[in-house]
This record gives sequence, C-alpha cells and structure tokens, in this order.
Amino acid sequence: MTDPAAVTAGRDASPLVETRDLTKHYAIGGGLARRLRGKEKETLRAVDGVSLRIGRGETVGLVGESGCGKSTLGRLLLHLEQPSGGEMRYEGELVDKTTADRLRRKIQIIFQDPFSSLNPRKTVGKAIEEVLSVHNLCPKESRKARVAELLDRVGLSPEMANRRPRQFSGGQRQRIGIARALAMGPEFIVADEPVSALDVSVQAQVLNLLTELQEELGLTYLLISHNLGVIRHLTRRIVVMYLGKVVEESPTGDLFDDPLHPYTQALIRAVPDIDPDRAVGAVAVEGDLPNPIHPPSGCHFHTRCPFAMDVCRSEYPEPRHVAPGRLVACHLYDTQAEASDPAAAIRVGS
Amino acid sequence: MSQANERPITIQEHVSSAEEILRVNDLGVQFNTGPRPVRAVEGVSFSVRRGEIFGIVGESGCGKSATLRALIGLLPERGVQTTGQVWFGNRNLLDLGERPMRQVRGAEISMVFQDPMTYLNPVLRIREQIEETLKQHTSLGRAKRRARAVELMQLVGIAVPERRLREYPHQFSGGMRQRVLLAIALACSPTVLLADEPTTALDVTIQDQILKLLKRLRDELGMSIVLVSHDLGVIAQMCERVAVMYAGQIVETAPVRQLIRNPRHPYTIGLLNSLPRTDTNSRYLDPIPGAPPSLIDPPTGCRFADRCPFVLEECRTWQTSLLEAENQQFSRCLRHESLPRRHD
Repeated sequence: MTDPAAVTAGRDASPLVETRDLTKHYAIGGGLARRLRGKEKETLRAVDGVSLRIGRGETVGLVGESGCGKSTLGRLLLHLEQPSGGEMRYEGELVDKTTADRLRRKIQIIFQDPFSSLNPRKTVGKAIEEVLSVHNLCPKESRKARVAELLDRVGLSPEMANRRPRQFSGGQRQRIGIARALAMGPEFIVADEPVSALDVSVQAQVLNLLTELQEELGLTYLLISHNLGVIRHLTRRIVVMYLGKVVEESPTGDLFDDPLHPYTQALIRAVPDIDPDRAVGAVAVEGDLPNPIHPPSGCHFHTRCPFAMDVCRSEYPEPRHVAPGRLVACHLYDTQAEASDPAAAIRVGS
Repeated sequence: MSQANERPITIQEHVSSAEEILRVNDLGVQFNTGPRPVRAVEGVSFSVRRGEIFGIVGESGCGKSATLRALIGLLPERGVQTTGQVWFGNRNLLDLGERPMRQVRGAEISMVFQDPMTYLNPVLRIREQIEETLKQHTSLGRAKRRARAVELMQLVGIAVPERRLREYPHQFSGGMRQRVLLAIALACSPTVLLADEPTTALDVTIQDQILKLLKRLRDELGMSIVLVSHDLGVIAQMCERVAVMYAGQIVETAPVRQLIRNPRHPYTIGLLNSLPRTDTNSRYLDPIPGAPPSLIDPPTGCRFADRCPFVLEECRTWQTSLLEAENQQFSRCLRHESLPRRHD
C-alpha cells in the first residue's frame, strides 16, 4: 500500500471487488395493524444503486451518518443480505446464491462489538476452533496450534485461549474478532466501525494491528466508519454516502483538502478540531437527517444544502467525474464546462 | 440533616472569589457494591468560574461521569460512599440533605446526559415534562408555565414549538431529544449546567449543532458549564479550562490551549499522540501500551507508571499530588519539567 500505484488500483482493469448499481430495498409496514388502518407498504431504500471498485491491497473508506446505508452495503458485500438489484463481482466472478458460500471464505467482516457475536459461555479458543472445524480449514489435531498462532498474530498470548469473552477488555475482544476473521484466511475484510466502541489509546493499538496485518498478508479493506479521523488515517480513497447513495468518491488527500459535495464539506467542517484556534464559527449544516423512508425529492441533500437550486429539488444529480479519480453527484458541477473550478466557486459561497 | 450555614466555614474552604461559582475539594467516590470496594474517584479538586465551560476528559472508567454525578447527589445512596466537599456559594452540596438538594438540582444546577431517551418519559407529552420542572421549582401559574415552555423550546432552536410541545419523545430525532432535555435543564435558568457526554450518541453534523447551541446558550444566559467528554476535539473546541482524568484522579489541569500545545503529563501526551494525525506520513499511530489499572487495588505511587515511557523508580512510590508545571497548569507527574515537548 505504500506503493503509489495502489492508489489508482480501484480503476484497474480487474478490481478485486466490484459492485454495479447494488441496491437493497426493505419493505416497511407490511404488518396487519398497518394494513387494517389502510396504510400502504413503504420502501426503505437502504442502499440505492451503489457502484464501487476496490483494487487488491487497497483500503477504501466508507463514511456517512446514521441511516446512510453504509452498514447495509457492508453486509451486501458479504452476501449476508440478498441485494434487491444490481450485482457484485469478486475477482470478476458474479457473487450470488451459488457462489456466495465458496467466496465468503475470502471475504470476512469485523464488527463494532465483537462481544455480541461471541458466545459468553465458550472460551475464545473454542470460538475460534469452531470456525476452523465448521469450514474444515485444518485437521483436528493441529487446530489448537492454529488457534495459538492466530491469537499470537493479533497480539494476544496463546494461554488466553482458555478464557471466556467477559474476561477480556474491549480492545482485546476486538483482537479476538480479528483473529476469528483471520481464521478463514481471507483476502478481503469489511471492517464495520471496528474501533468505534474503543477508547482512543486502545483504538490506536487496534488500527495499528489492522495496518500490520495488511502489510503482512496483503489484505484488502473496506473500512466503514463515521469517524473521519480514523478514515483519513487508514485509507487512500473515500466513498461518502448520504441516504443510500454515493454522493462523492475521491482520493483521501483530495477529499480533505478540497471536498466537492456540499455534504462532504459539511461533514468535514462538523468534526471538532483538536486545535482550539482552528474553530469554525458557524454551524456546519443546519437541519436534521431526513427520514430515509421518505427521502427528499431530487437530490436528497437539498433540504439542508446551502447552495440548493431549483433543479436540486426535482432531479437527482448524475454522478460525474470532475477530476482524475474524483466523482461527485451534485448539480453544482453540471456546469463544469463553463466554470473553470466549480469547487472554488462553492468555497467562496461558504 | 445539617444545614449548610450551621457548618463553620473558613474563606479558603468555600468558593473563594466572586469569579468562582463551584469549588470541588478532595472529592472521593467509592463503590461498595461488589465483593471489594472500588475507588472510582479519589482526591479530585477543581473549581468552575462564572460563565466558563470547564471540561473533564478521560477514557472509560476514569471516573469522569462519577465525579459529575457526585456533585449533585445523583449516585445511588446504597453502597456508594462520597467524601470531600462541593461548595456552591456558601453551601457544601455534599452536606445538604436530599430535600434541600432537590431544590438545587434541576433549578440552580441542572444536568443533561448522553442518552436523552433514558431521561424523558415516553408516555408524557414534551409539554408536561417541561412544565413538571417549572411546577417543582417555581411559583409560576399554569398560563405562565405554558408560555415559558414555548419560550424554552425556541431558546433551544426547536421550530414550531406549539405543535412540538404536544408531541411525545418518540416523535423526536436524537438531536431534537437532546434539545428537549436542554430545554428542561434550562427551565429554571440554572447557574451551572452539568453535561455528561451530551453529543456522544449523535451524528457528527448533529453534534456540531448541539455543541454550538450549548456555546450560544452559555453566552446568552451567562451560565457555567461542566462538560464531560471522551473526545479531545470536543473539549478543545468548547472549553476554556480542562481537567484530564486517569484511573480516578485528575492527572493534569490547565487552560485548554496550554494543555493541547504543551501537555505536561505523559498520559495527556499519550492521548494526544494516539489520535490519528495528518501531519505525518507514517501509517502507524502511537498508542499508549497496556491498559488502565484496576481501581479495586490501585497501585501506590503514580497510577500511570506501568504504561509510562518516562517512568523512574521513584514514580512508583511517591505520594502523588498535582504539581505546578506552568502558570495555571498542574500535573501529577514528578518529571513534568523534563518531558519532551509535543512534536519535538
């Protein structure tokens, strides 16, 4: 990943992971009580036409606030949810019911709270062994050794295999979660808020572990987080989602130096800076997140956008490439041919 | 129940200047609920000035929330032992009985929490919950209470207050619920607002709105705020002065700029270095090794010694106290003078 070529890997001819118009809709309110009251079924468009390309060895960040669909997208990539539309390919191969089981060994997930996915009555050694035996990954007699090796790999001592989950701290539990994901020998790991439940000093330990593992094992990561500091540190490319749709995609440095979408600009401005003198006086963005079941017409962000125009209320902006590797879905960039630097125009406005 | 004014007090003991609104002296909180006592807070002293936002920052279990709750007697009575003094004007709040305490709490000193839903009654309309506080603490009549409720909703930036007052908590978003909780806390124009991780459960754009609202309210109403947070960014943007807590003790206290530019305790340095940074190309962060000690049997001497890169033999034995490192800056570190400057 220190290789600068890796930065552009997402646009290589054959990405490791690729989605096209991936969509997940949930039907809401099909219950009897609602139907008796004459209410119609509604649709939550959790993920609404997301196209991504992730190159081998790359770390892509996925950011957004509650309800933007980032976790659903992560689950779709693992085929833990059936997509309602669109497709996903892994090494060019279509991921569907018939291939998911086989491919899932190569794709693993790390959750925010590994405690909730560990059986409190089982020792962690057993929990990891279970993965090895269910998937027939290693002969019975060498399983214990493999567990010890995995624990050691994530910075825990092999004797800890005999302890139960509650005897571990939050950081240690996350290490166990990572060990369990590694047991499968994955290539691609979706890390869904892996450090959000951890204190900063421990958070740094776990982030370092993720970096180390990537360098050693050549892993590819999709890092889902609401924490822009973490995303900025770990990734080279960032995808920003708002209410089920990708609003911007950029190399990490560009995104922070020069965010294009008004939502990205607000998101970055809203993060409280550690430097007391780098304060922003005004509120970054007014208003609440809209109800995702009834997203605003046109561009979903228009209700909160300081630059909203008439067209924003009626038409969803097509995502367009405005610079190498930079994609933005915003009507402000429709006129790019005329304005030499629309981003600058927006910044003046802000 | 002894009245506060029956207790002989000297000028050093209670609030010592017109500027100081709250003074905490040698606060200790011990939980006796488990098999062995847990000393969650020990020897915590600080003061809060009029109109100031004072921050308390630290990681889980450092005692920051217990400190805040102890100030206004919100810790459970059974199995919890609170020692020290909390001077508010000429009253020691820890000496007040439950009844006089209830008069202070919610009126002169009020509090907002991380999760507003826990503190709002789901089956009562917002109007009833705001008016309840006014009924408790003021002599306002029904009509005046109604008018005040509308005024409070406007104060915290809730649009169409008349309609929203008729709604229930579940009809509000997370950010709006926090505004409602603020409206209730501000109902009696408190002198001090205690805020325990008020934005931790919120999305970053909503957090930004609530933080700026808190600052605006402080400016407009002239109240003091004690803000507890685990987020150094929040503390840096909000507070004038800050105390860093570790393992039940304050390890460093200073004006916020000074603390961030020139931290004088290894734990503060470690916390700042753990944050993802942008001014370096390294793919690795600088974490603090290890984990905080157990508070059942805390180590003698410096509690950070086991994790400290600057540790000396005497660190493990000295009777720790806050030492003056710079003007207005105090550190519980023997080596505060020889610590490296940040980013050196």
